[in-house]
Amino acid sequence: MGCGPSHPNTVNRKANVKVPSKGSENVVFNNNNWVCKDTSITVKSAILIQNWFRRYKARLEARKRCTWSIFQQIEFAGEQDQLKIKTEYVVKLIRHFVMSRVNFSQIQFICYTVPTLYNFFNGMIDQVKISNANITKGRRSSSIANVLAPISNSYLEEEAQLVQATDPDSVIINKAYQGPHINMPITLDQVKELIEAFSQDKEISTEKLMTFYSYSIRYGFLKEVISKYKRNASKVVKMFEDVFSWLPLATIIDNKIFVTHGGISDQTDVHYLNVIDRHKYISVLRPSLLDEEDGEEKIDLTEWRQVLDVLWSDPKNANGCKPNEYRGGGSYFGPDVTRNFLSKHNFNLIIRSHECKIEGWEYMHYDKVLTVFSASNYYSPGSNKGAYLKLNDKHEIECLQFMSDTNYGNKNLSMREKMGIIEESALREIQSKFHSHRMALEAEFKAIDTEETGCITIDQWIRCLVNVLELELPWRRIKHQIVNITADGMVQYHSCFDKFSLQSALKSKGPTVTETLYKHKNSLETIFRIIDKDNSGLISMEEFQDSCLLLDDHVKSFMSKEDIHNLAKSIDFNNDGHIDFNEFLEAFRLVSKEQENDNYSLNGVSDNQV
Amino acid sequence: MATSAAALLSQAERDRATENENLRAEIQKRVYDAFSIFDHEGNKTVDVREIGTIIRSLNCCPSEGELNDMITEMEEEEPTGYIKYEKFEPVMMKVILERKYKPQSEDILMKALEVLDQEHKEHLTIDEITKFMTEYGEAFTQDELEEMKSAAVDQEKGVIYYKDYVSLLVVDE
Repeated sequence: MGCGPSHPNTVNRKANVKVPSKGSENVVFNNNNWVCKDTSITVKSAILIQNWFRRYKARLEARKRCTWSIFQQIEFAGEQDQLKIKTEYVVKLIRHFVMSRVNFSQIQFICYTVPTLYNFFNGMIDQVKISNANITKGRRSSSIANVLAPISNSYLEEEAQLVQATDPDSVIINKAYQGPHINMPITLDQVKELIEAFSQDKEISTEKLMTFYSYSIRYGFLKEVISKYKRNASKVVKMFEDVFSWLPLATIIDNKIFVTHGGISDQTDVHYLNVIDRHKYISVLRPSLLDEEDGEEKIDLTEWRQVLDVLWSDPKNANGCKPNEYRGGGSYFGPDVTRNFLSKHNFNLIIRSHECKIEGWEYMHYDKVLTVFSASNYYSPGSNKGAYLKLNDKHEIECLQFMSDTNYGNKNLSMREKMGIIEESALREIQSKFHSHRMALEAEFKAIDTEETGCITIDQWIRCLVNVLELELPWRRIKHQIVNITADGMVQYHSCFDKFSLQSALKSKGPTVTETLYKHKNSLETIFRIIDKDNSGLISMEEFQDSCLLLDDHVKSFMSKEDIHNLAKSIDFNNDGHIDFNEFLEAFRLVSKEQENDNYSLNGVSDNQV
Repeated sequence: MATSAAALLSQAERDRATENENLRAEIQKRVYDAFSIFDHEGNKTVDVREIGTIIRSLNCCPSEGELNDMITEMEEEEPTGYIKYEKFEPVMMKVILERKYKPQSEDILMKALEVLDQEHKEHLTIDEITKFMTEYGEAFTQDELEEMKSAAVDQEKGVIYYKDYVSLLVVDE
């Protein structure tokens, strides 16, 4: 298609206005003289309807993209939030709980499971006095790479190269380094040493931090394993690792189709990948290869880069190949890189995954790169379809879509109805942000609205949202769905909290306590899981109070000691001195105002129990 | 007296000018937002294939031919497959301020559908809509046709009650 310039991206330049030939008309409408008399009015009508429909479709598409950007931005913000937990807090946490109450084998397991550990190491990175270590938030593994400063071992040079390979700001290693040396598996003494050094603001250099990192980013998966396998969870995790380490990095179908997880870079060489000993790579983030027999370790940087690139790269529309800074590994590759790769290896197509797509699949690079993503409802129920591919012997591809929940996957729903469902969950995500930052938002609104009219301009309102929530969403587009706007274009800012209300089983504690707990739900959960040695979901009253007090040290104006004390008392529902924290965390939820009336008391907790 | 009348007049003119300026600023924000949603790399460019959707999402109803004229105006001398915002904005602003390609009213849309319903049976069959939409005018692609059918065809009767369909098309105005 297209008779425009050679660039295949160019749209069809010729507007084909079809007027059927007399012959075809006579066949179809031979009984209808009216249309034969005036083809032009039929054509005009058709054009008008087509224009209308195309505009309708475009408006829906714009709404869909808008919703998508909300999901993505909130996901990204969530990742950044994790990076913000402060160093001192983590030190205190480890000191307080890990050192005193948990034995070492548990520490190791906690290291695997708790994202705070990632923050812990990230915090250390902040403290590490490596010159020129330029740490940017959001660039996760490149900042990890910064601390991969090796000490007193034989492969110093190679590791230095490694650091340079993963971070554009090369790191100068201080050879006079005196701090603790960390090796895997980490020992209790090393942890102690580390924490000491850390709290005394000493220099710290660590090796193989990537191991921890790789565990912590798989938090969701591990959480599921823990909840299902309880005490055997660590064994099961090890087995998963082992199995995964034998999965192929890439597959070639009939010498024509290259299948891998991420994609390629301009360096990707299939022959090279083919000879890699796959089992050496337990995780893509663990580049070092341990050869225990002669006690020598070796890192093959070229090899590692090859592995990273096929697993972590993403296609982009712009030509060229550049490092993927957001993911901290892999590359962005352009259509030219794809073209060169395919012709070099005589392939026809790259099939990859690694990015969520609205329809479950998407072609890029002039149909030479096919992304397929099989987790439907990834961001929320209805957010995206999952897809799988069927390939026949002629290499014709059929993309089959599905949704795991039949309510949303029902084909009978029109595009508009589906849109409604997805939009609703995106708006819910926003509402959750509003309610967890309600006090800060209200303060910000009121600071502008000095005359207490309850109204501010749209621009002011958006500025407040961006300041407090740090989310650059298409606010202007979605404003009508989240806030009341007066006829003269002013925002009635109180109304953005009206659609939902934050409820908890602890009603008598008042909105402030509820909001604070809701906002810090994830941090509290992290602490609870550390304390909960046997994954029973139960912690003692003291432990509960200690956790909240810790958070109080860390978070400005979290809760007063008295509040915490009262809260703890009130949630020991059966007075046995233990708290089921899963239930406790579930007790905070956002409820739409309509539902609220039907379901006043939550979790069967009536007011007199509170 | 005459001077104060003149002063009043010029005040009114100034007000109108401010109002125009405000309107312009408001439209500009809308144009920018619509473009940004499709600017995936955040570098103030969009894929030329998405320009049609952006223009139409701004409530314009150009025909394919008119759309191509607009794109030609926005494109670089050597088409790159991308459209830059700086080129997009002036063309789009002009179209909106001049109220070009304004969608026809709902009544006209209804009349157009009535024209296709040559037997005045108050509905269109799937064969009819397929024929008119793919063989007349600026023909639908197969995808467009399927999408229209998925929303328009009555599940039970297998025909299009176009009065209902029109109300669906205009619902998000």
